[in-house]
Amino acid sequence: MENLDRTTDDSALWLAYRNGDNAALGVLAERYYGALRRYGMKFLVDESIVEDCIQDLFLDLWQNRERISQTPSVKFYLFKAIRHSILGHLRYQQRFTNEESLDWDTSLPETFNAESLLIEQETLNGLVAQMHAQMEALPKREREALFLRYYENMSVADISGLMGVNRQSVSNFLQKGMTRIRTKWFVTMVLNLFFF
Amino acid sequence: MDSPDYDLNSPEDFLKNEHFRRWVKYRGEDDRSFWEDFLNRYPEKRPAYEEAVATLLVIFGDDPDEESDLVRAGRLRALLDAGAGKAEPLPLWRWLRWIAAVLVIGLGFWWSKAGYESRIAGYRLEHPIALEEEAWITRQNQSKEVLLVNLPDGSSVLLSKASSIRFVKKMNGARRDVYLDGEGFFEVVKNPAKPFLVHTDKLTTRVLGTSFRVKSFPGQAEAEVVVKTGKVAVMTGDNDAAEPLMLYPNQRVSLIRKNDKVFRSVTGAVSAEAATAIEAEPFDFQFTPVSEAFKTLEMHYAVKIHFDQEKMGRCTVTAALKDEPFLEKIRLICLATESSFEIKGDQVSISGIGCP
Repeated sequence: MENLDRTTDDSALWLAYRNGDNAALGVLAERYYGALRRYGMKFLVDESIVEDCIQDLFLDLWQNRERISQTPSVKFYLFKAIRHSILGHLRYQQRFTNEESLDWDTSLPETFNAESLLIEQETLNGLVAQMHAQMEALPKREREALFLRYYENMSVADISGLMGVNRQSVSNFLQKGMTRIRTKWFVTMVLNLFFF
Repeated sequence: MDSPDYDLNSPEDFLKNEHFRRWVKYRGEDDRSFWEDFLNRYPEKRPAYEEAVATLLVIFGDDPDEESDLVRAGRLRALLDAGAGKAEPLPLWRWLRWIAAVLVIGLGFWWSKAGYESRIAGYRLEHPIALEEEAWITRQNQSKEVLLVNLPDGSSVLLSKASSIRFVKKMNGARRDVYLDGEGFFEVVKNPAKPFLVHTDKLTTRVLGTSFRVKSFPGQAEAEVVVKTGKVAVMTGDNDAAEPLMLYPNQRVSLIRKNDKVFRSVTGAVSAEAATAIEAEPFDFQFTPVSEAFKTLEMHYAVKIHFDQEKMGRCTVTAALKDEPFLEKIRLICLATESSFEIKGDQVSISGIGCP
């Protein structure tokens, strides 16, 4: 199976891996490493723990390849597995007892490259600060849903499966986040009307 | 490229547009020309565009250390490529696991038997050890200056006047617990497996390794936590169920307890004059003469450092020691200058052969 490479799609790689091709699993590991680490770190777990969890996940996948079935979404499968193992770690550390005690990192990078987004630096800094303050009030699980939907491009169905909540709640989470933005937008509009 | 999405009006429209999200996430060259064109053609949509970008950036959040991902991902791939070769690793693994399990159980039996016998032989032997492990140490600062306290795990605390701190002699437990009355500046050794908790009468601060100041004098209504580096979780009271408050560098939380109600307020950047000296000190040495580096340490940690000026006069230090605990700072400087150190109370003696 030499024709497997970075352009092969997930399900073909998954099938090849299940048939005993370790290189196929390697390609998947490389493809999802960054996303899995980023997601894992959001639970405010130490970097080394997240990295161990990812490594264990892939080694376990390899060991158990004969018992693993085909999946409609490899990404969903991997995210679900990493969430599970990080929650397991937090439970062990007694930092996780219920969904409310589960953390979500809402911090921002120190700087933004505004030019690369076609915005003036000061404008962007100001807007980001406002929006950050605005969204701080959102519960952590809603922040997670927003991240999965808008950063990871996941479907509402996948998010509900991943977070273990029903679809309606996920839609509500996303809606609430949107409402915040809309309120904010409304205020800006009104201010603009007054000043310009 | 996707079909042009010119029906974007509110920030919400932008956010729901996959094409827009891909652009903010990856900032590809193709997308750039598309959005440049878009903004030139519809300048009135710029505010909504900017708002949507800011919102996405907040949703994306911090993304530390992207570059190393490639390296680590490559390493994992190599591991899978090599370790998971054609040979079946399963049976050997299983066998090793069983052998290990048998060994552990066997050792356990032997140990408990040995323990039992020694207990019969003289149970007094065990007692002092247990006591020593649970022995509490209390350090009080009755002087007018700050007092440096080195904790058993290597972390350091600068204790303000009229403050005291209590901790167990050997921090062997699953957590590192210290109890503070008053004010202290903490520099904590990183150990993700063992969270470090500072308990006070009004709040508990929990970290894995970072530097921060805690102030909570008994009898005063107000308490405060200020972060210098890293992340810190603050819990009010002993109520573990309450959601902790996350604090980031230069943030501070003030807490006022009135009529048994707790008011907390988070403020951003600590103003320069409010920050006490050590919080503002970066401990960033660039070819700094060792005598100067020691002077900086002496000033901030209220210790006296003795060293041979003649021998070590030519030694310099280049290091960023922003949130290393005191012992770690000294250890690293000694490492760099090939010298050794000894600490007695607030006196530190450095001896080295000097630098060429």
